Amino acid sequence: MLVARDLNKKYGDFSALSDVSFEIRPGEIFGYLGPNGAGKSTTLKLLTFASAPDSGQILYEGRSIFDITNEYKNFLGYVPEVPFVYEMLTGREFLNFVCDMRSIPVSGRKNIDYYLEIFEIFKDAEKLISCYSNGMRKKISIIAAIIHRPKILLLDEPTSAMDALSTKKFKDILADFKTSSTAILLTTHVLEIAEKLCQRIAIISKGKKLAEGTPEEIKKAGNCSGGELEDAFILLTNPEIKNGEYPGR
Amino acid sequence: MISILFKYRLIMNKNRFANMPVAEKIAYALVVLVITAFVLIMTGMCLKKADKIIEFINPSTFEYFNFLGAVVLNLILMAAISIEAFAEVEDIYYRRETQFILQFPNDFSIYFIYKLVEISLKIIPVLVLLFPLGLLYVFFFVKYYGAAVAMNFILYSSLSLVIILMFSSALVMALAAAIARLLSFFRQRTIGLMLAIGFIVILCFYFPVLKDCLTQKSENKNALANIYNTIKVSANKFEFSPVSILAEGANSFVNAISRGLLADIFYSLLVTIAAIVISYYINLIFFFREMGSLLDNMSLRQNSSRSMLYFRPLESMPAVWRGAIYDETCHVLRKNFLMVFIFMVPAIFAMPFYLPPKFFEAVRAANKYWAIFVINSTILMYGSELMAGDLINKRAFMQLLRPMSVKLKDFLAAKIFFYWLIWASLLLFVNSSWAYFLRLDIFEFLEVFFLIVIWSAVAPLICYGVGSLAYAKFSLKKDADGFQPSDPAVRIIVSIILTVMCIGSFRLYNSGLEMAYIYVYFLAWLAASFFTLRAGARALEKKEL
Repeated sequence: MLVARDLNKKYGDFSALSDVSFEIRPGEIFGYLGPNGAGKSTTLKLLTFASAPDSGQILYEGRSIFDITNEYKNFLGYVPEVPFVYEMLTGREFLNFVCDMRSIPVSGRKNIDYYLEIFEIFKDAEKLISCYSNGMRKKISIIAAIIHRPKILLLDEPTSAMDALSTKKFKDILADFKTSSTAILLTTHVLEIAEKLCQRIAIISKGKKLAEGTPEEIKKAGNCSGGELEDAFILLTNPEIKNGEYPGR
Repeated sequence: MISILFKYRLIMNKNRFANMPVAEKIAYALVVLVITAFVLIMTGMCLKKADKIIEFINPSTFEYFNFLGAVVLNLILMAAISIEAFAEVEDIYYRRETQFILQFPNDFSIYFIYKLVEISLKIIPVLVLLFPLGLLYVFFFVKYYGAAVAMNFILYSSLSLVIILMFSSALVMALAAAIARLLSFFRQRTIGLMLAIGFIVILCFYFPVLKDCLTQKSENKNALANIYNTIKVSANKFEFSPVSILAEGANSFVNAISRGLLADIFYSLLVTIAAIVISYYINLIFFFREMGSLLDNMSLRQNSSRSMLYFRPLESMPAVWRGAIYDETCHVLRKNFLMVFIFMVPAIFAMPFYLPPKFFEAVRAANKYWAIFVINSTILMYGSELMAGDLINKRAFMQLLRPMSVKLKDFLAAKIFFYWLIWASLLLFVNSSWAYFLRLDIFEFLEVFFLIVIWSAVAPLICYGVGSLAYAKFSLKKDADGFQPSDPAVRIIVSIILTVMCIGSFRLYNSGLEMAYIYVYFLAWLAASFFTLRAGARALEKKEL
């Protein structure tokens, strides 16, 4: 559904992405993992037009997203790591703004109440967002990204600042989206979530893709078969560490 | 999309107002009251002195005053608009809102049109301050040429303001976009230098052309015909530019229809529309394509290395001093500074070279320091925008100071010292050409020198003193993304106090007092602002730190 091919991005002399390729398929949660500064946010910026690749292609159903910008955006939902919200709008006004920008008719906005209920912010929907906690802002940002039932969902650390119950509910929502053939890209530092939710995972470090496959394949690639994804991740992204002998262990 | 953005902006403003504490509402009401009073008082003063001023601006000297008026309107007003617009447009690149808006399936160019209209609307209140000046011109036209010509002037001025607002906003957008694009190829400082040289070259051509245009003799002495003639002559001077070709075409077309007021207005409208359409297409070419690369370029610029004009003596100063002016010294070629340097200072410095000797004779006969007072006031008023804005926009420095054992007063003192040196140098440079043409002797020049030294110290003290006090007492809470209608209270209060100080000094001098008394006047302000700074820094520390 969404294919990134040989993406390269440099900031001055610093190579943020180097020949990174991956594919996100319909009905799949694709984990995009890497340590800090690996190039995850740069990739998401490229996928949301906030940055331009130096070379490489991004294809949506076989066509470059730069040729079908608005069509692609119609099917896109994006949750940034630090949510952007208009603080002087109430939660409901903000969601209505998003619906207006996406030309969703008033009759098609029943989802708003549904998701507000699920994330337990229905009673706070009429309050200004400036009064919201970080977790509530994140929830509003997630609702804004999924309200139009996108076909591609890009999630940058979606569960950060969320409590356990909300995280659980969010996972249920993702499962629901998965069954409706949405292609989901998820970046997270919580490898446990990635291991449980993602069908396939790519690990990047210093702008290069190190491994891609199912969680089991990743563990094998990191010589941690039967172990935990976390160990494989650490070994893959820190080649100087051998046999699990890293500081603190 | 535009209507949606405006609709929600209105809702945000409404919510903001509804949730404002009563004290802030009162502060805003006071600010509105003071501005209204300022305009009314200035209008009253103009009305009172109208006869005398109009006598002074008689038809024989009108051309030169028209020239000065055009310079003020074109350079000062356009510089103000450009600075404001440039800062706004630059912000588009940095705001997370841009990335947020980018994800929606709308033509992104519409977002920029929305910004263009928003910037223009924001600037309109500034024009209210020009009302008394406009009124004087109307009286002038009524007295010498009749009501019909005055009506022409009103109509033409209104249209001109629309042109200036829309065209300069659009042009600045294109400029910001061009800079963003050029950053792929050149270093930021190279672009800054290219811009500075470009503007100086334009100014060198601009003054003589404008002067020629305004001194063209018109048969009927109709003000509108003069201005109309101006555009025609300008078009002839730059006959190969697309705008001139368009203007000439429109001119012929209008002449073919009729002559007179209707044709002139139609012509002005055509020029306005042409200007906006051309700027739109300039923006279309530069701006609306590959927004991602522009965002990349601008974010990369943040990593640019040392500033060209790093303030060396600071290296031996305490860390707090370096920290206080880090932003100013590292980004000396950025936005506001850049615009002030390259627009206004060379323009005011160059102006006397193009004014006739009889103008200086008249000024010297009437009041030899008249021009000096006006120039210093103008530059420092611009400076106040920069310094008062610094307090509001750089809330970041509050966050930096919070965990440190640094007194805000000391931090602000370092900023004041820095600006004192900057303004004193600029004023000396600008005043030097005027002093030469006004034929000031060495003692008179020394008088001016000391005036500048004190005045340029008082201005930053007032800005940071009154600014911090006003900020502590009135300023609103700011959104995390800095996204909300900007809080004008601090800037307006600082501007009012500075205006009072500048006008006061002028009136004192005008009343025949010796320069020594003016020094005492400024020293009194210096002392008052020093205590205000202490109080303001304490209050701000209490509120923010």
